[in-house]
Amino acid sequence: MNDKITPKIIMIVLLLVCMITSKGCVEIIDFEVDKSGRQLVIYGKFTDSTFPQQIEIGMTNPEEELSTPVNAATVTIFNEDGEFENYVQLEDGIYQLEGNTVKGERGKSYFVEIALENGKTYRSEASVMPEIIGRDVVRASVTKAEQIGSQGTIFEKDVIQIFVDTSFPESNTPIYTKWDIEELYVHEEAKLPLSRFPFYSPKNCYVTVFSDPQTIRLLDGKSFPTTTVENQLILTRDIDFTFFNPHYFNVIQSSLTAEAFEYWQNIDEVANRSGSIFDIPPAPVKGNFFNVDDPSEEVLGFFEVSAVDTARTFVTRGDFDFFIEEPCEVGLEVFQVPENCVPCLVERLLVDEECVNCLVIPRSTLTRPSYFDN
Amino acid sequence: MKRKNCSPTIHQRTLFHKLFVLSILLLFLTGTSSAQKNKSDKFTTVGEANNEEGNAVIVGQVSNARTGVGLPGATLRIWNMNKGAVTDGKGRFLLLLPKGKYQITVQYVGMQSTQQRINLVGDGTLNFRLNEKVVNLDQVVIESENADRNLKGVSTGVSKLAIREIKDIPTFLGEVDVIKSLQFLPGVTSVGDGASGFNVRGGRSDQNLILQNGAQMFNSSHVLGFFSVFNPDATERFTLYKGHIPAQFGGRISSVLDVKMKEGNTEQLAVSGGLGVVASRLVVETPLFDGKTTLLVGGRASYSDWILTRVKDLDVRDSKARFYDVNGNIVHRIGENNKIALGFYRSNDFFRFSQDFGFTWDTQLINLKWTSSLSPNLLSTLTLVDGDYNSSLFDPSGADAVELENGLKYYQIKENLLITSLKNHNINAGLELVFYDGKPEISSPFNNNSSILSTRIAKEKGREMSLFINDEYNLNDKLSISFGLRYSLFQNIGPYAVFQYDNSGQRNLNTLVDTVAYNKGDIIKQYQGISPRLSARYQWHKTSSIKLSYNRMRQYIHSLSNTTSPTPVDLWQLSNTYIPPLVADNFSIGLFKNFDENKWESSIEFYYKDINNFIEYKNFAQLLLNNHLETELLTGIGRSYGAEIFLKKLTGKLTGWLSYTYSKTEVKVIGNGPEETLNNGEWFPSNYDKTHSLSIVSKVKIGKKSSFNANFTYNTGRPISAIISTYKVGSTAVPQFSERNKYRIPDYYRFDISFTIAENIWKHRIGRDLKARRYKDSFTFSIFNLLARKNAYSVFFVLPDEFYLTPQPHKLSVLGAAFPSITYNFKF
Repeated sequence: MNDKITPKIIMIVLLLVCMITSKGCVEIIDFEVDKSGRQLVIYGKFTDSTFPQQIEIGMTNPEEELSTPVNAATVTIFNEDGEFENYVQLEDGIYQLEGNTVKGERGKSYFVEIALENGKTYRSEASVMPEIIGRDVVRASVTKAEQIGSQGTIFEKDVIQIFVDTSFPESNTPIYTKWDIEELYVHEEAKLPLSRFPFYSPKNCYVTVFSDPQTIRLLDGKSFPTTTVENQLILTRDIDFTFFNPHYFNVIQSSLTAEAFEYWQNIDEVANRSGSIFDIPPAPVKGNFFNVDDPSEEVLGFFEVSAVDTARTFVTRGDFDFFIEEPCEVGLEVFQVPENCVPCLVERLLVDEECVNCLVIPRSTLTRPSYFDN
Repeated sequence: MKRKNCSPTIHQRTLFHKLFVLSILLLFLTGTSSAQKNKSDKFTTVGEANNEEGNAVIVGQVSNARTGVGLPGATLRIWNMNKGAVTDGKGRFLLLLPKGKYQITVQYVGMQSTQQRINLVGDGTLNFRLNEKVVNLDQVVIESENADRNLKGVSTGVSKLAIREIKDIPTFLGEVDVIKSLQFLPGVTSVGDGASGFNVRGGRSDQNLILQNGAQMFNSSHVLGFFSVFNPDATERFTLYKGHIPAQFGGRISSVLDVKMKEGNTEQLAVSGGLGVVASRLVVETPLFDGKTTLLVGGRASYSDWILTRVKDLDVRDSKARFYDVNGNIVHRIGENNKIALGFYRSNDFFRFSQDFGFTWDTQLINLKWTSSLSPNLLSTLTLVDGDYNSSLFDPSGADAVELENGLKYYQIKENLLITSLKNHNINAGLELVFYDGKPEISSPFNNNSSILSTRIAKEKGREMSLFINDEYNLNDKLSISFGLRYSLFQNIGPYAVFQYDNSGQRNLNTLVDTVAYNKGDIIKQYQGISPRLSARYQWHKTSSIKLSYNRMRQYIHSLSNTTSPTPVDLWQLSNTYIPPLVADNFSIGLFKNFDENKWESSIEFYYKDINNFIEYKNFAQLLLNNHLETELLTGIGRSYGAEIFLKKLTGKLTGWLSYTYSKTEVKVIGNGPEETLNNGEWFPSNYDKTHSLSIVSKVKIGKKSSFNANFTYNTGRPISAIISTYKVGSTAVPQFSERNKYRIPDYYRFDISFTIAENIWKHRIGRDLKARRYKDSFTFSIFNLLARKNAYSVFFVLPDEFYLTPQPHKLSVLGAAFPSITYNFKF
């Protein structure tokens, strides 16, 4: 009997070993919850930079994916000197500071007050703009990264990585830092044959993209000496057609208050979860707004008072040792449409719309940024 | 060799031991006089004081006094009981008897019979040497086991399992696992597949006292929770107390897991082990110095990295997970009445997830136990433990590459006196001292490229002193009572700096007003209290009994963990100025009924637990490297209640059990202000609340030695918080979460099978030497999660690639496939 069993056992062992696919898995499921809404959301950032100083006001919506804009609010910023200034509504739910009465100065305290049409008034906790901010040196590096295809095969892919070296001035207080990355690239419209489209003139759009907005890049100054932090990898990104023309990476460093730092830490905790055993239990993120008449009302969002500095680098297609396809290159197919009928190119799917009207690209402008290198 | 009943002489003991024992005797004023009077009884004490009730096992050998050769087929008969045993081919025997006094007669054809009076107080060894003489052999009826032990035991909520009972249970990757086996018992669950620790009656895992030969263990898992730290070949048996907990035990509020390791073979070299898919184990036992000394050395090691390389996910493929553990035990008998055991245990784990982060953690225990029979009715057991637990978390990449270490050093001294001089009383009395020395939490740069600052967060020390007495009193055949008292005193001691907060009642950095520094040895805070224990059993019919119990438990050390499941780097925090001890009142009542001449046993138990000073966490509590932890903690109350149904078939071709548990575990936290109040001050389910839990364990014998096993497990999903809306902050989409634990992950169920072939398959290939040594081997094939069900470990929410869309619920399944495995076990 044993002589018969032994080879069978070996066979079974081999089969079992082959069957082992030790993997956990993540999949989307149906999960019923009682959706709720009608909570006020306010987010504003007030800085010492020349960036537009804006506040967004919305109301969470149980039926919709994002908040419903709140219009016709009176938004006022106050500083510690008693100066104040109203924001102007720019578009649905977005208010912008247009004047110069209240300017962002490091070391000064600010808060905003928001009066809604329904008579409710909300106010942020006063925050002091940090006095110290680090200085960044940004560099880009092209490298290869392993990725897995849908069939489980491993392949290498070219990626671009952005690194930051940051030097901090001496300080007795911890510096809390957050980085945001903004990319700006040139989108050239298609160069249509003049003989066929004599009235068409291609434009160059400057398109801004917020890089990986769900990644919260924070540095807790309590854990670092106030000298330098080097070789921080803050972005890894696939290389695509946007690198056909010069492509800028603007690294915006914000020096945060301790409260703002904690707020963004909490946002990171709830926005980037993996479901692993190391996730801490999620919870509603408490901001720094409150209802003046009813402090028990839960108000979402934050009014952030930050010192800001921007460093940037750029890459051109000459930095890559491989070919990047021109995004709006056209061939003889454009002769299939009537003369001068540019819209026909789009209707017949011969050319993408953004190749003949680049302003349809979100956050695009014809205005060339001052720093943009010709 | 016959045992002689002789009192130990003074010079056989150290002065310390003598004084120690005398102080206990004086303290409790019990048992001594009777013990002296009973000297003339000439009873030999067998076994050592253990903290279990009911039965004890006697193992031994009957041999020819002249030749020393074991006598196969010798009979042992217990006077006044219809019980006995027959020795095996080597003259060895095993007897399972209720603790108490007996007269044993040993007979063998051609040999002179002998009689011996014993006082059975615990598991022990008893050898007989027979002289040659022809006698008649009486007919002896043999019973294998006291099948109605579940009826006669005085305690509620006690589960005992021997390794032999769990070795065929299908397990993940074929590793026999003490902790996982417990989870088939009523009232015992875990967070999910691969989660560390276990939860008893809805309690947190740190509320379980885990003892290995009396030494506390602060980590019960390998590989983050896939395997337990107990080497099955070195483990004798384990007992889980989750209802009535005798006064000998204390320090945790939910349960006690008492694991007894083997002492070593007293007769010959014995080797056992197993080869598995991811780990192998080996245990060697041998007698030394004519059997007066036994030595056991065992070890386990994993080679699980290969399995990770088969995973498609690159991060997992680049991960590492390995462990080892080592057991050593040397037992020496001094005369007839003294035994000294020196144990050593070390376990180590290494886990690294890709290049992102990793853990190491290790436990080391040195355990010295001196058992001394001071008189026929007085058994002393002195236990000294030196324990050391270390863990580290490392993040090896980036400018903030860091290593974070913490740990706990501890020492235990326990003196337990078992006093049996009063008729029908088994009294355990003694004292226990535990000294905790919290190791500082240290973060340091992981490599030269790291810019991280080194940080050191000091931890307190503490000492827990307990006096206990517990009497198990059999009033008559129907009524037994176990009642005890445990007094515990805990002192949190310096050096330490204690932050002071203003009178607002809120503790946060804004209310911090001062710091008070305490010097070395200063008592910072002291807690004390009496914990009564009471359990009673009334057996109104030979097949039925009812039991009820009440316990008060106190816990002075807490694992601070704000993650879904305990992790190896969780902080062990002593009670201090701001963290009062957990105090729980446990009530249980149970009905026990056996059927068909004890072939079936059944029970239904109801329990209610009331917990004070329940530790909860503020939202987004940061526990690591936090020198003001009290600002992140909340104190509330908890309650747990439920019913447990258990049905077990003990004999026949089909054996196994069914257990069902209905339970609710809830928490209420009302603090100073909204920041310190959870869920508006209403009761909400704790993280470990599972309403329904069902387990079926079955074993079908095939032939004489082979078997087929099948398990089924079902649990209600555990509570979580879920997203109820989404909003935008800048360009970041932020989910808004519900109140704490308002929803539940999907229910869990799993079906496992295993097939054990124990036909000594390879025995004939191994050679005459091993044949002569009774080489036995078996193969166990198992498939864990046969249905390949992707049980949810957790549910979390992820934004899809398209921007500004509602996060979608995702289910994480740790074991998302069927896991076949094969294990080869052997012993000789």
